[in-house]
Amino acid sequence: MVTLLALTLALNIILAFLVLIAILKIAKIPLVKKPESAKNTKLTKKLEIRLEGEVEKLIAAAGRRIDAKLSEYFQTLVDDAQKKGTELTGFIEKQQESIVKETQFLVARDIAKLQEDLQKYRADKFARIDQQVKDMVYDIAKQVLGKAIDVSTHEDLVKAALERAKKENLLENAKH
Amino acid sequence: MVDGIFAADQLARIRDDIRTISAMAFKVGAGSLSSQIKTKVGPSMYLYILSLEKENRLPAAASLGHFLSELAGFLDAIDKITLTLAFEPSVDFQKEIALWLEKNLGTKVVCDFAVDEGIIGGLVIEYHGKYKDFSKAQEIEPQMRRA
Repeated sequence: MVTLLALTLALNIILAFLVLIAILKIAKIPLVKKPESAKNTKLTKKLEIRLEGEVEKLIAAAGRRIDAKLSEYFQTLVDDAQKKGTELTGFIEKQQESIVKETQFLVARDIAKLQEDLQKYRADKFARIDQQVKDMVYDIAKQVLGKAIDVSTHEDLVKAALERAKKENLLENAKH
Repeated sequence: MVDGIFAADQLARIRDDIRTISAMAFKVGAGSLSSQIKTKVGPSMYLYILSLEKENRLPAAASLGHFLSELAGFLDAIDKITLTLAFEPSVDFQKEIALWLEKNLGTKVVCDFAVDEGIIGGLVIEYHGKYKDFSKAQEIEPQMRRA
């Protein structure tokens, strides 16, 4: 911004200088003042005043044009910045929305899978515990029942089993 | 001697005795074979050898090895049956079972008795590669599993 202002100022000075040279050339006035007569001095003075007025007018007009142009450029810059800013804001908002939606989807999916795994794990564990309890009860029951039977009854059970084996031809089939 | 064998462990002991006597038969010792083996073999084998000596039926030393080998072969040929019970059977009960089996199978048999309290009661039979479970555990298992 400062650079731009300095540039403009330098441009104004150069422009003013050029205009002055042009006027002096048109009026055939030498840049270096030579000794003149009193008459010429008066004329010169008038011309000088007139020139000063013209130069001031030209400088003022050039200054206004430069100011207008600068103002126009600044406005364009501001408008562009605003436009870009609005576009960037929209883009960021869209991206943010997309990321949020994606994250929500991923989290929901992970939670669902986690719940499913947990359910399966619980079911497996319960089934295993259930089986272990059944096996324990079964083993204990067998031991208790076996010990509750007296030797005589055991012997009778063995004899009865042998008779069943005989009836089922388990022993007959094995002959010879 | 063979009539007195009804259990697999008895048969195993007789086989060990035969190996012991075979090893001793080629050594020169004082006295009769029965006196040499008296403390080294089981009573049934000792009495069997003693009875052979008394009856002059014990083969001469040269053919004793062959005789013992034939005896081992004869013992190996006896039918074996594995019976799993839920209790430790008495010797009398083992003998009773072996006799019942001999009667019903129509052949000499030795029983290998095993004990598994898990079968609750009854019997599991393994005979000539066949297996049959006549135990109480087998009978009541489905009900217990359901419970």
